[in-house]
Amino acid sequence: MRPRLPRRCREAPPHPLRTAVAAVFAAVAALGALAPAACSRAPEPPDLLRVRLPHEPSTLDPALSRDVTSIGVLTPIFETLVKVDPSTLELRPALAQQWEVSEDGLTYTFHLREGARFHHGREVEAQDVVFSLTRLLSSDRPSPGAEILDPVAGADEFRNADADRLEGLEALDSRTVRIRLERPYAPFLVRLTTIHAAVVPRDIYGGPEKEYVRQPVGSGPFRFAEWRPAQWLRLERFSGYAPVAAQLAGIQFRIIEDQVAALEEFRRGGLDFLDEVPPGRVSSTIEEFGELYHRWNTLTTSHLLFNNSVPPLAGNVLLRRALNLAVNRQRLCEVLLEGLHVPASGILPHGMPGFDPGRPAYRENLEEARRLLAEAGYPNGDKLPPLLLLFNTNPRVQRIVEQVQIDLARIGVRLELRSADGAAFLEALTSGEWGGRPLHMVRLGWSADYPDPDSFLGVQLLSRNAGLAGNFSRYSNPEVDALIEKARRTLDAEQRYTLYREVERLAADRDVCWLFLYFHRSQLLVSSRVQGLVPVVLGNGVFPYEQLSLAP
Amino acid sequence: MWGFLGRRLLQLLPVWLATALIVWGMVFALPGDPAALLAGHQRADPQVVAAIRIEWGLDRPWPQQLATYLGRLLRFDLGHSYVQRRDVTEILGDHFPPTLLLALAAMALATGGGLVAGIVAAVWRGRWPDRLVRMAAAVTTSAPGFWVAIVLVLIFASTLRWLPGLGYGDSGIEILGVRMPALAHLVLPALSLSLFGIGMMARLVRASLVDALGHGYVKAAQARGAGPLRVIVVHALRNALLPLLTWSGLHFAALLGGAVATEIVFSWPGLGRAMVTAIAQRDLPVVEGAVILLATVFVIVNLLVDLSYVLLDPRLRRA
Repeated sequence: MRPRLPRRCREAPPHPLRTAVAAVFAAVAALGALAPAACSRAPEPPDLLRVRLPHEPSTLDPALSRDVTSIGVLTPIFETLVKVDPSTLELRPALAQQWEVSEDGLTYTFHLREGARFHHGREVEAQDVVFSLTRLLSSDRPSPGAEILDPVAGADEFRNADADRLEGLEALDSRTVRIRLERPYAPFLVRLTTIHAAVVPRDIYGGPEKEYVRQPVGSGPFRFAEWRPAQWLRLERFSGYAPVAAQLAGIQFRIIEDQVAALEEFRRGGLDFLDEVPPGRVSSTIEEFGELYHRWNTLTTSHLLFNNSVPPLAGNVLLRRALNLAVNRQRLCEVLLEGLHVPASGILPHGMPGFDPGRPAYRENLEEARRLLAEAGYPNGDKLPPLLLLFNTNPRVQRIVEQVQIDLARIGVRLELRSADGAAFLEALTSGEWGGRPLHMVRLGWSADYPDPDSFLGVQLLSRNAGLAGNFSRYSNPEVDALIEKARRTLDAEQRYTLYREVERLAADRDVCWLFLYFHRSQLLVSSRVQGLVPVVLGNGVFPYEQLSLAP
Repeated sequence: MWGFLGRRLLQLLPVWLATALIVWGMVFALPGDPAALLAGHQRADPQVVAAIRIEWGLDRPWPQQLATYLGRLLRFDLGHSYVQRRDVTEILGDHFPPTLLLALAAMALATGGGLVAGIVAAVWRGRWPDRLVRMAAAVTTSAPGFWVAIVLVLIFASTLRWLPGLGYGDSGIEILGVRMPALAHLVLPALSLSLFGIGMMARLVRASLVDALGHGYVKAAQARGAGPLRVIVVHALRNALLPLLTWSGLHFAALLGGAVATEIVFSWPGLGRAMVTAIAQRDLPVVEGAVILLATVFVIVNLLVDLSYVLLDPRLRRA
């Protein structure tokens, strides 16, 4: 019904309400009118490399960093004494131009690079190295990298405050650092390449002002410029970097959580590096972007850890073997993971030094699985209680464990699935319990902190690391412990790798410590203007940005 | 009037206290040890974990932790972030203004769009404009926010390329120390956040207005010779507005706290995203501070709604 309203015939006094309504209308109209005018995007400096971050870095202090995102942001800002080439995984000089290791493997002498400067202008001195490494043990919050210094002479005394300085660590002069170890420890050099061991200027990081928490200062090829929380972080080229400054004018790390939104942003040209493709869109992305899509092996694995300390899995190797034979990893990788990852062949991932390419990938064999299950005392899974499996909350992981659940049901083994995230997952992982019940299996992804077999085998299998220190499956075998300790004392690389292969044979093949799933490959969409791209194997967020340039 | 205001402000105190207690209890009951998460993601040196527990007082019994927490609150100290190592007030200061701006813009769009659509629907009741508005309102009020956001990005950012798809942009303008977003960056998040409000508002305006237009005073105004616009805006709408105000106040407060999905899709640096991150990292002081801030805003918005009743309705002023 249309109200028929006569024309008005007298002027009314203005009323606040009318003014308010008019103001709202005016505001809406103004917004509408202004929007197109503001549509031209604020131009960004053209030669910044724009890299997507899936979330905010948790810290900008290299000593405290622990997640891939923080490490990826901090690596271009800081330098360590030695570094790992992310493609070849070989050790390369960084702040130390050269170094010597004594015959007995106990003394390391590092000579600092001529002309190395911090971003605030001062030259890097040996005393800064001593300060930075000592800081891992003595900073007001202990560093997750503190264990790097475990083999250094006097570390325990210093940690327990029985000594006021770390005895094994000294600056011989302003350019020379000497580190003495208590016992030979072969992975020592490679562990010095992790971001925790970054060298920081002692005048800034030693002062009472904690500005460095928000404004990190290092000596790397890029200097920190600005951080807008939940938006982006910007690094600029450090022109004082010797011998050759980076070519990129800078890097803008853009924080974009949502995978679909990030892919759209890449498509629009707002990103140069995109590290993830939404589940279900891998093949369409490859089709659309062709050569811009890259896929590399990385040092990351996904396995289901058995709890080797509680029945029925503890003490029943036949049962553990039967479970391993019942999973169809090919289908898992090709269908659910869209061909991204590959079936595992053991504990050490493809590309890891010491990896044995001769090991065959695990395959399913249902007949054999059923036979072993019967031999293990559970014919057709009868009398076997449901096994409790915990996974971290993540849609992709959930699909994987559900598929494993279906696979195992074929031989009569039932899985009960539970998920948790963040701290709750970590707590269950550490305690081996969920809601007062023992966990039988945990799905765990594991990335190498440093490219050395020890970062998998040593950390995850040593019986004294049971629980929080990394051995979550509570695997315990004195023979394996002895072999790992021996490998750590063996300086010859090939001999060491032989020992680690023996460890893998005992733990994976003989004891079947876990249910092995797959090795990861990383994916990266790179815009066509990026030049100088190299494959990156070290899957911990480290990228050699200093080697890149952008086409004009 | 002032007495009323004073009484309402005093009522804030128990609300605050209750919120603070509930939040603390919930956060305390969350499974997972923040110290272990801080110390090393998946594996950690037990010595490091112990040191962090002592540093943050997590090793003390819960009554003592609660007392410390309440003591800090009484001094208006929201504490210090475990993860970011800076004051919670500073973090909230970074993230609340973008959320407030987004909510204001969405509210302006919802009010403007909803009023226009509702008036059109009421005036042409039963005709095609009415049916169109009601159908559109049904769609916008039932579509989930994150889906609307993605669809808007696909249309306006990816296909038409009229607007940026995500981010806060940089207008270079600072107001009261708060960086303003580029206007173009505000459009899509505000629009996707406002669609539900536009639909709801249109329905409410239509219903109230249809009711008001049937009243005798409207006919009387027409008989006195008031113009069509004047009859609708001054006589009918003004009386129809009061019930809308309550809904608008609650909706605005909900926008401030519930824009998480929109903020994540558009990478908007707001409070919702900061809270989600903080919860995952068990950065308890940030979670507590953000909830207390939102509760405060909720109470204040409600207070303003009550006050505006008094301004709009002379009967309440005399009462």
